[in-house]
Amino acid sequence: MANDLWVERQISALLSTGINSIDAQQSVTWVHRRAPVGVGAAEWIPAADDVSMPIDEAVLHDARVLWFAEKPAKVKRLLDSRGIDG
Amino acid sequence: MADDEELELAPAQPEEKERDELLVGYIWSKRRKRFVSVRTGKPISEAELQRLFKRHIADAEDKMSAIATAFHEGRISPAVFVERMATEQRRHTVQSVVMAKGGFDEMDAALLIALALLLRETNQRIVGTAHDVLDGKVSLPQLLNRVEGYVGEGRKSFFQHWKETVAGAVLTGQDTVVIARRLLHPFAKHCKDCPYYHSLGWGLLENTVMPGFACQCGGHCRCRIIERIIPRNELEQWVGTFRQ
Repeated sequence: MANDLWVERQISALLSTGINSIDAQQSVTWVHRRAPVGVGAAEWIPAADDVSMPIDEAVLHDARVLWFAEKPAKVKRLLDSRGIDG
Repeated sequence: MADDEELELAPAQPEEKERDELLVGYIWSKRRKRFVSVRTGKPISEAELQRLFKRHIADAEDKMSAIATAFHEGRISPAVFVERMATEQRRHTVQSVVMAKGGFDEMDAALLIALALLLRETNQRIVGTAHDVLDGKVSLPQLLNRVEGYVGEGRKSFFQHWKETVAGAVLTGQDTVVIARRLLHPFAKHCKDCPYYHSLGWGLLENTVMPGFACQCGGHCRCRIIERIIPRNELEQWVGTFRQ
């Protein structure tokens, strides 16, 4: 129950900053699952290696989806431009 | 010299004008180093691209500042702060570099590796900041200043890759060069380096120092760059001047 309350408070706090609900849930769930045993999600400070990752297709897809979701209609498809030699 | 030559595509009909704004598709001209609307054949001007980028950076800074404020106020845990900041930093930096390179199709493996290393360095700084906040060493204004610096790393990445990309721009059938000059933000504080770079006026893009590099502002630099493609035989008329 205490864990559920912590998770709920973290998600609510993120939502209040303007983060969307999917991202808020994802962040808090990640912390809750990755916090080392004996440290606790509320006290744990990850190392840089914990939050760093290769820039792979999944990362590019994430960036593409967010661009499409957040940018004005006129430029939503800008970064999906096909390159031509002309 | 006009550098807005159009590709030969069907022009938009008046009744389609509203649809033009909605989900317009683009191509990336590898020759001109410009995004071009498929519907109208017109390139996006550099001024428009830089306005879009300025908005992009401002939005990232707003989002990350709100997260940082929530952390400083104790509403989110340090791990949630670090994870969220790292994610947003990764997203806006990747998007910035993709804008500079001309789209996702222009990203190559070497660039992705370099980006990952850069982001890891920024993540180390974010983790350090989390420790500093918990130790009471950082006020909220100081924290927000650090956030501005992190976002500025993404801004620097844009200008670094934009310079490499645009320096290769050419106009068909003409011997041209790309020139650039630095503009100071009208309301920002400047270090001693930025006014000097501004005072140099127009010069070859390849020789122009990009905002945030070789200046004390670093990631906080608010300068921007304007560029032109001109005939090579006109170069002497531009270098060192402030011509419009």
